[in-house]
Amino acid sequence: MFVLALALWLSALRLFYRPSATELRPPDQSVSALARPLIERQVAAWSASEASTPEIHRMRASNPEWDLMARTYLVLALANVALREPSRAGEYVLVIDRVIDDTIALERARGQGYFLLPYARARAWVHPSQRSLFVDGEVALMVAARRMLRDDREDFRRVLGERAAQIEAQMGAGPIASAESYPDECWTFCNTVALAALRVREGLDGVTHEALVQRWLGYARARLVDRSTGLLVSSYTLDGAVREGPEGSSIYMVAHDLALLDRRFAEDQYRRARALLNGEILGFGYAREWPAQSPRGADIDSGPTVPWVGANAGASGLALLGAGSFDDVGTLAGLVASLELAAFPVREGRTKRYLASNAVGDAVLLYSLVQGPLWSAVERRRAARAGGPR
Amino acid sequence: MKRLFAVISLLITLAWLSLRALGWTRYAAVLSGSVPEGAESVGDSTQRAVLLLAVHFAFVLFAAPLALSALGLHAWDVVSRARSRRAG
Repeated sequence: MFVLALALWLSALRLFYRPSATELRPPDQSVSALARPLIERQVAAWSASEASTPEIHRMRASNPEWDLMARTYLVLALANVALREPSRAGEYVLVIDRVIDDTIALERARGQGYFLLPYARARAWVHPSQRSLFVDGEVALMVAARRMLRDDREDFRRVLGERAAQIEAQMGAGPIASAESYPDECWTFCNTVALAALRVREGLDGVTHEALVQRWLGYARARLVDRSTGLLVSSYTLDGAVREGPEGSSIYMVAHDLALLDRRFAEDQYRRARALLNGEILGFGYAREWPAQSPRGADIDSGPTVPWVGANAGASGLALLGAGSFDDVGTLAGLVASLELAAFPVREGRTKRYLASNAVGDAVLLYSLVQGPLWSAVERRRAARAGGPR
Repeated sequence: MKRLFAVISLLITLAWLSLRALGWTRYAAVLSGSVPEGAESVGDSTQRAVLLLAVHFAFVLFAAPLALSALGLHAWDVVSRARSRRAG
């Protein structure tokens, strides 16, 4: 009797948690009911008098990088929301400006190290600028996304121009067209974020960064693709020696960025990542941090891993972004079902949060659910510019 | 057997409700690698997070089928008794 009841219950469990395709992607391109309470929470949090909450401090205690990443994903998410809801765009732009202004002020006051793990100070940078591409790339992408909505702030034009020049100089300096995020550590994640920021700038300012983009893509295809999986590796030195192979917490964002740089390469990377890293049990999706071909131990980027199944919090969070980016609604539904089942969702008035998540997890989830309009707008603007002067 | 199923289901449900009432759901933050509210570090909270998850999944996966099994067995008993009374 119990076995029968258990079998029936487990086969029906997904019905309580798994959203439908139209719940995830409303046919009229509006913001989904799943995303709405997450937006309201973020807007309320950043409209409060203190931008830096105890929640942010607790997250920073584990990894200060997550603070900057949470800001970047939130800005990208709100840019997509603003493009979906032009009537409320002004409200979202105010929040975006607050996030960017606060980020730049913190970086100015405390240095780029404020958003880096302490080991950034343990050794010397190779490039004489001693700057982190992680910070420059994410700030550039935030500012570029903001300018896609409204290009009415001269200081943002200046900031994006300066960061783009810095990225060009740093990535263009060496033979591998890559720059350091930490001393002698190049991360594929950060290099593609920086290149995506340059891509957005092309449509905004009518400049071209094509030579650098093609150099990096050429190098990546030739030297950064892991032979056993076909996936891009996660990190490498400025000499081109691979440090860490493919990771779930990295590859989905890399594929998302590549969509602006080389659509076919991006789709190939997402398809491979899904085949090698994604799993589903009884309609509940998850992602592993490492392919079966190259298992490794936990690190600070990945967060905890569930034993036996291999489901990993960081990889599963970023897998949402991959699924959202490539309109893989079935995979997205399975991953959202797992969140609803295991991430302890809590409704508080018009807002919602997941107790098992943190600020960066919340922002990634929101970005995944509202994906699409920003990258499409960038493509349209670049195409419109293509006929004009470069 | 039906009593055993009912008691286990009830115990799991009570444990789940107790942890929620005690605010232990905050330890779920460990899953994201963040320090839970009121805790010193992720490491200090890991054991509580594991217990929370064990109880949560026991509740979600097993409480309902156990209760359904107990109900099913009880219904079977009632029907069997009625049949034997009629036959007797």
